[in-house]
Amino acid sequence: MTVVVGARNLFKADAGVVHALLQARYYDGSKGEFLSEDPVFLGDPKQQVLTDPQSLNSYSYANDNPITKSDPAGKFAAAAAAVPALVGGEAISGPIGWAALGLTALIGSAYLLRSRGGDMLQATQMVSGQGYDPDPRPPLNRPPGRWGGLLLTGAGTGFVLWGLNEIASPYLDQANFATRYSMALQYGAWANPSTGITVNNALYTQNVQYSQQTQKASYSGPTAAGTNPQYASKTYVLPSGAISD
Amino acid sequence: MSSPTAIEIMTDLLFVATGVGAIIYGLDGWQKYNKRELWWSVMGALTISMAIASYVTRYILMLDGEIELLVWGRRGAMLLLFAGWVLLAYKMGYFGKLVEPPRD
Repeated sequence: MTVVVGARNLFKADAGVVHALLQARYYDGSKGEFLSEDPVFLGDPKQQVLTDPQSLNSYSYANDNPITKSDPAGKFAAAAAAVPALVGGEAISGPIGWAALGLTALIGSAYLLRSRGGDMLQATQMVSGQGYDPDPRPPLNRPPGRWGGLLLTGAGTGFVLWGLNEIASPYLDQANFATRYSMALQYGAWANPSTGITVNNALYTQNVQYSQQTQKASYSGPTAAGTNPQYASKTYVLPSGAISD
Repeated sequence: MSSPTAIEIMTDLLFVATGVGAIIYGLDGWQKYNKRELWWSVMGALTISMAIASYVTRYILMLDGEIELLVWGRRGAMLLLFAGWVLLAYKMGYFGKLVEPPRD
């Protein structure tokens, strides 16, 4: 069964094998060969290079030499550009020749790298299922939309709230402090004009014992202050300015 | 320091929700458009980090009273974050001009 995928028939699956369309022909990556013969090879016999037997295999990809050659269009293999440069360098064995060799090799390498880069881009696009895009420039940005606007509104509201809180926090802290101050007095704390709240010693001791008792379920010893050596060492001294109610 | 007020809890929740949304939105844009959309995700992650760091330093570690510089550090970081969001909105065209990559 043959399933053709994509608007431009870029891939087709045949018996579980996915074939990529290299413009003129489908290519089977598992075999490294095309599924059909080279249209150039068949259409124009003059294109057949009899001195290069490898090229006479019309199913092969890039003359079975994919390291130095490529066939992105499925029609003919592009030769490596650095080869003529090497030949020219051998012919002229002098300083100018070597310089020419270097320059040609540089230009040839640049050309080769550029073409390989293009192939890699194409291969990457095809592997990621995006097909071959002849325009390598990145696509347009996403235009401004409602979801982005919602996010920006959310962030903006957050910053406004944060700013309001930053302005109001000293007053809120004062209000909180007043509440805690009055509650503390109500529950038996001492009011110290210089330091704010001072705890009632007896009440504090009781609370410490109570909290330790509840935290430690296995504790069954005495709870009254002074009878337990754990608490005997703790003495709480009132500040001199403490005011008793 | 006191316990967090309602306005602070609301602010932090809003920042976290916006941050999560921005992370998802950026990843979605990256998949559908281009890599620049990931700036949404970056800003979202920074916003969540800022909200969490602000809450932890104030109410869990309670360092605000201990380190005075922390208050101003938090304010400065929040201003930078705000500037980042404004820049993002500008770059993504929310001020009426879509800033696109240069074309030939």
